[in-house]
Amino acid sequence: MDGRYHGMDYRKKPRHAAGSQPPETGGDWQAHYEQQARAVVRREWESRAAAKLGGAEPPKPYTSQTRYTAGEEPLRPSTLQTRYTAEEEPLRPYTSQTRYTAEEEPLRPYTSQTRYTAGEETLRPYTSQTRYTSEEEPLRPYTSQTRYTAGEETLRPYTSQTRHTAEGEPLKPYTSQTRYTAEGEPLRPYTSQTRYTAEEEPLRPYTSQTRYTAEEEPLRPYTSQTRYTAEEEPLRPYTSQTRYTAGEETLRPYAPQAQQPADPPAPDERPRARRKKMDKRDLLEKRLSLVVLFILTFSFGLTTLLMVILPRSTVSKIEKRELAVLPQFSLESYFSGEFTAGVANFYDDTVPMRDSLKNLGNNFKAVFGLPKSEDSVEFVGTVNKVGQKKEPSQPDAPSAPISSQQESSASSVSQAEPDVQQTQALAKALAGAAGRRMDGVEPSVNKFTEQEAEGNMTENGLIVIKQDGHFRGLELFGGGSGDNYAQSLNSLYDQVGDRVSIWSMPAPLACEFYLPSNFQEYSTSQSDCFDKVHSKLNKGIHAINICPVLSKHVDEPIYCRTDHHWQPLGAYYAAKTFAEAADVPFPDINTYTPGKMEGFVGSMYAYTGSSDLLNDPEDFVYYTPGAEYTSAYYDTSYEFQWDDDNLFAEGASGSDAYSYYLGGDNYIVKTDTQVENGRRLLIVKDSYGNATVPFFTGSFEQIYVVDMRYLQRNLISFINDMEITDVLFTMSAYSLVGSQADNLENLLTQNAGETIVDKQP
Amino acid sequence: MVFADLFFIYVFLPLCLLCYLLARSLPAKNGVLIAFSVIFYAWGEPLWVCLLLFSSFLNWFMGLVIEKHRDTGAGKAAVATGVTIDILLLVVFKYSAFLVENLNALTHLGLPVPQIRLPIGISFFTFQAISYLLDCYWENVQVQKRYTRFLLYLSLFPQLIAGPIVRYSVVEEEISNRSVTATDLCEGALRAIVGLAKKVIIANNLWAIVDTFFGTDITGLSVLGTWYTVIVYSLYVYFDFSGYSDIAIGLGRMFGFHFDENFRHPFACKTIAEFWQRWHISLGSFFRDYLLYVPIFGQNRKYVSLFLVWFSTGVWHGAAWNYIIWGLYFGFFIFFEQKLGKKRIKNWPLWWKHIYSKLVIIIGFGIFYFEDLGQLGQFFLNISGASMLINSAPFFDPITWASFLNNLFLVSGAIVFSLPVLPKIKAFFLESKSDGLYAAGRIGAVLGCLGLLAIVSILLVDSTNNVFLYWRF
Repeated sequence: MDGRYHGMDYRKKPRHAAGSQPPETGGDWQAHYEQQARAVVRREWESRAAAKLGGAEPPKPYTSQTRYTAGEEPLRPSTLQTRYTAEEEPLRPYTSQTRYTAEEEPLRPYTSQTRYTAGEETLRPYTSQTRYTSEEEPLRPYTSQTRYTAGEETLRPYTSQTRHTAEGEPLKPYTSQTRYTAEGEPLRPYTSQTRYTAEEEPLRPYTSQTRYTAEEEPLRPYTSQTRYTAEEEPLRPYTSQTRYTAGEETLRPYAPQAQQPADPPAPDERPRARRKKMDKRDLLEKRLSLVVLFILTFSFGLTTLLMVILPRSTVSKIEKRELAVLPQFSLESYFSGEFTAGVANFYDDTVPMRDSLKNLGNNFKAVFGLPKSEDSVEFVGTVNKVGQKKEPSQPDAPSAPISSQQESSASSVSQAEPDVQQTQALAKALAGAAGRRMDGVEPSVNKFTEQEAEGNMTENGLIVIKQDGHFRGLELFGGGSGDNYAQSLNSLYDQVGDRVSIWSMPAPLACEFYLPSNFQEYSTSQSDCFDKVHSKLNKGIHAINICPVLSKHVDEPIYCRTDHHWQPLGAYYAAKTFAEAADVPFPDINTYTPGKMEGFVGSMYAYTGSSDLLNDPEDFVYYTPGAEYTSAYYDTSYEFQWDDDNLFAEGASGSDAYSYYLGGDNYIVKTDTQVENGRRLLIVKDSYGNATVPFFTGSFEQIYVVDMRYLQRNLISFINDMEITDVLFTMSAYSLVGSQADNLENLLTQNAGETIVDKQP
Repeated sequence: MVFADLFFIYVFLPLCLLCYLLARSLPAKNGVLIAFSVIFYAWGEPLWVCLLLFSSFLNWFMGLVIEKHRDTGAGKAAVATGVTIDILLLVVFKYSAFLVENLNALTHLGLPVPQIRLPIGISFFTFQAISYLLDCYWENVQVQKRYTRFLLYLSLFPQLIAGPIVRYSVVEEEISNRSVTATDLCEGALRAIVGLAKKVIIANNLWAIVDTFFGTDITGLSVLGTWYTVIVYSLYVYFDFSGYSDIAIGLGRMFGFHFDENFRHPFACKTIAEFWQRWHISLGSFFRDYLLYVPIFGQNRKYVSLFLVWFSTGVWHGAAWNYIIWGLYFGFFIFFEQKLGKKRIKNWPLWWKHIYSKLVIIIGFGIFYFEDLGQLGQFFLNISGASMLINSAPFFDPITWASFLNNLFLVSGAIVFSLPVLPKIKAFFLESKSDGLYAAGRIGAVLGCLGLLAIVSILLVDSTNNVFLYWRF
C-alpha cells in the first residue's frame, strides 16, 4: 500500500464548477462524491477480491457502519471510523487517531502521537516524543530525552544525559554522571561517584566511596567505609565500623561496643522464637570457645613445660652420634648466623626421649602406603639404573669391562662414626653410590634374586625387601675401578713383598646375594668388580674372591638383615677361605661357643627410617673362640691403653651389637694366641674386618688389627717393627672402590722411616 | 626462624603469646609483637634485619611526604622514589646475579657475578611496602603517622617470611584497634595447627618422593614415573605454600589480625582464570590492582599489560628463566581463555574443563620445578612419551610402582584434601541446627587438631632441614 486512501483524496478540491449540478443525484455534490467513492471502493474491492480469492468468495460491501470482529476478511476497505481488533489486516491506512494493540504491523507510518506497547516493530521512525518500551529496536536515533528501559540495544550513541539500564551496551563512553546498573560492562572507567549494583564486574578498582550490595565479588579490598548487607562474603576483614544485619556469617570478630560511636539501638524486629534460638546459639558458641581454649592451653602448656623440664637426650643410639650442644655466644658467631642456628639446632636435636619419638614417627609413616606383602621391595632414596637389564648368568662369569663415572665416596657408610654430620654425608654418599652408571655387568645369581618382587619406595640408594617373612635392608653397589687400592697394594708389595705375604680379600655387601632379580639393574656385580680389581694387582699378591664361597651359604644367616655388616657366620666362612689359602690351621665352628644378642636393629634402620625394620629385629649371633688368647688395645697412634682377655666389648647391645667386636674401629688391637707357627698376621680393615678377627685366634701366633682409616703410624714401619709375616687387606666393597682406599697411600707414606715401639707393660 | 620447627612451636610461640596476653594496653601489645617479630627475623638474618628496618623507615617516611604534599609534584616524586627504591632493593638482592649472568652471556663482557645472599622474605615485605605507598597515593588508605605502627605492619612475624602479601588496607584498622576473643584464639590456633599438619605431615613427605625421582638427571626416568612425580610435585607445592599461609593466617588471628585468604582450594578450579583467583590470591590481586590497570600503554593495548603482569608473576617467583617461562605460560592460557570468551567456555562439558585445567596446571608445575633448561626439555620429552624413542626410556618402571604403592594413602589423601572437603565437614557441624552436632563438631575439631599437633611434633623430631619451597624469596 502506498498510503493513498483508496483513490479518494479528501483534501483535493472537487473539480466541478460552482453552482453546477451533479449528473445523477441532482443538486448534491456531496452525495455524488459519496456515491462515486462507493463505486470506486466496490470496484476495487471486487477486483482485489477476485484477484486474491480467485473469485471464490462473494465480495461483501463494507460501509462505514460495518462493525468487524476478529477473524474477518482482511481485504476490506478501512475508513476513518473503523475500529480494529487484534489480528486485523495490516494493510490498512493508519491515521493519527489509530489506536494500536500488540503485535501490530511494523510497516506503518508512525507519528508523534503514536502510543506503542510492547512487542512493536523496530523499523519505525522515532521522534523525541516517542516513549519506548523494552525490547525496542536499537537502530533508532537517540536523543537526550530518550528514556530507556531494560533490554535495550547496545549500539546507540550515548550522551551525558543517557540513563542506562541493565544489559546496556558496554562499549559506551562513561562519564562521571553515568549511573550503572547490573551487568554493566566491566571495562569502564570507574570514578569515585560510581554507584554499583549487584552482579557487576568484579575486576574493577575499588575506592573508598564504593558502595556495595549483596553478592558482590569477594575479591575486593575492604576499607573502613565499606557497608555490608546480609549474605555477604564471609571471608572479609571486619572493622569496627562494620554494621551487621541478620543472617550474617557467624565467624566474625565483634568489636567492643564501648569503642564504637553509639548508634541508637534498633528495635529488635526478629520474631521472638528465632531471637531466642540465635541467642542460645551465641551463648553456646561462647561457652564452647572457652572450653576449647582451655583444652588447647592446657595441652599446649603442658607439652611446652615437659619439653623444658624433662632431661634432654645426649646421644642417639639409632644415629650413633652425640647430639648437639648449646653453642657459645660470640659476636662473630652471632653475625654469621651460626649462634642462632646452633641454639635452635640444640633444642631440636636434644628433644627428650629422642630415639623413642623418632621410632614412633617412623612407625607412623608406615600408614602412608599399603602394608608390605611377601616379596615386596622398598626403595630408599634417589635411585638410578646401573645398566640395562641383564640375563642372570653363572657366578665367576668372565668380567666385562667396567666403567664408572666417579669414585664412590660411599665408603663412609660402612662405618658408624660418632660424627654429627653423619646422616647428611651418608645421604649424599648413598645418592652418589646408587647414581653411577655402569655398562655390561653380569650379576651373580642365587635363588633369592630369581624371585620377582613388588616394589615399594622410600628414601636413599638403599632398598628394603621382604623375604621369607622377614625384612632385609640392603645397600646398592654402583661399582668402581679400585685403582687407588690396587696402586697402594702394588706399592706395598714393591717395598715389603719379598719378606711378607700380602693378601687381598674384599668382603661383598649383602646385595650381591639377596637382591631380587627384577631389581638387578640398580646394582652391579661385586664379584666381577673384585676380579677386575685383583687383575690390576701384582702377581705376587694373593687375591681371594669370597663371593662364590658365600653364595653357597646364602640360606644361612651370613649377613645382618637390619645392619649393613655381615653376621659373624659370614665372617667365619671368609676367614676359613683365607686360612685355607694361607695354609694355617683353622678350628671348625664347633669349637666356638655361640652367643646371641636379641633385638638387634642396626644401621639400616637408622639410614632408611623404615618401620618394617624397626619392628622386625634380628638376632646377632657371635662366636666366642674356644682357644685361649690375650688382647691388648692401643689407640690409633699405637699408644697402649689396656689389656683384656677377650676381643669383645661387653657393653655392646641393642643397635650397637656389631661394636661388640673390638669395641668399634678406634683401636689397634694386638692379640697373642696359643698358636706357635711363627705367622704374624696384620689385618688392614674397615669395620667388616672386625668380625673375622676372633676366627684367627686358632691360626696365627699374633694378630694385629688396624683400621685403614684411622691408623696414624706408617704401615711399612709397622710391618717391619712388628715382624709381620702376612698382611691381609679385608674391607667391604664400598671401601675397596671408595675414597677410603685413598687413605692407603697415606698409610704407606706418612711418618716414613719411624720406629714403632710397643709400650705394653 | 622457620615455622615448622620444634624451637619455634614450643619456645618462641609460647613466650610470644604469654607476653602478648600479659600486655594490657594496645601500645604494649604492639610493642611485644614488634619485638618478637624483629627477633624472629634477626634469628635467621642477623645482618639483614637492618634492611627490614631501613625499608620500613623509608616507606613510612615517604608515606608522610605523600600525605603532606598531596596533589603537588613533591607527592608524586615521593611515591615514585619510594616505589623505585623498593624495587631496586629487590632487584639488587634477588636478581643481580641473574641479570649479570645473562648480560655476560649476551655480550661476553665477563663481568664478575655478584654472589649476594638473598635476605629471607624480601619479596614479601617489599611488595607490602609498595602496596602501602600506592594505596596512600591513591587515597585508599590513611597514611600511618606512627612509625611503630607501620613497622608492626611490615614486620609482623606470621606473614613476614612467607605469608600472604597482606595489604595495609586489610590491617589498617586492626593495627590501632583490635581485640582478641576466645573464639579468635581457638580458631587461630586450630588454623595454625592445620597449616603445620599440611606442611609437615603431607608436604615434607611428598617432597621425599619428588626428590627421589627428580633429584638427579631425569633422562632415564620412565614416562609414567615423570607424570607421577610431577603430579606429586604439584600437590607438594600446594600443601607447602598453603600450609604456610594457613599458619600465617592462624597465628595472625591469635593476635587479633584478620588476614585475607591466600588459597581457596585451587585444584577445584574449572578454568585457568579461576585457578589464579584461587591460588596465591594475595599476589594475583596485587598485580591486578597495582599493575594491570595502570594505563601505561593506553587503553587499547590491553594485552600488553596482561603480558607484563604475567611476566612479573613469573619473575617474582625466582631469578631463573624457567620461572619467566612459567609466568608467560599461564599468561598465554589466560589470554587464550579471554579470547575464547566466557560464554563459549561455559558451554564446555564439566569433565573437560576439569581435565583441561588440571593438565595445564600440572605441566605448569613441571616447568616451575626445573631450573635447568636442559632438564626442562628432557621433562617435556618424558611426559610426551618422546623419550621412549629418543632416550630409550621405559614407559613404566618398577620404582614408580614401588613408590606409588608405598605412598598410596599419602598421595590419595593429599588429592582428597586439596579439594574443599574440610570446609564442607566444618559447615556440616558448625552450621547445623542441632546444638549437639555443633558442640560435637567443635570438641572433635580441637581433639583432632591436638592429635595432628602431636604427630607433627613427633615427625619434627626427625627433621634435619625443613626448607620451605618459597625460601628463596
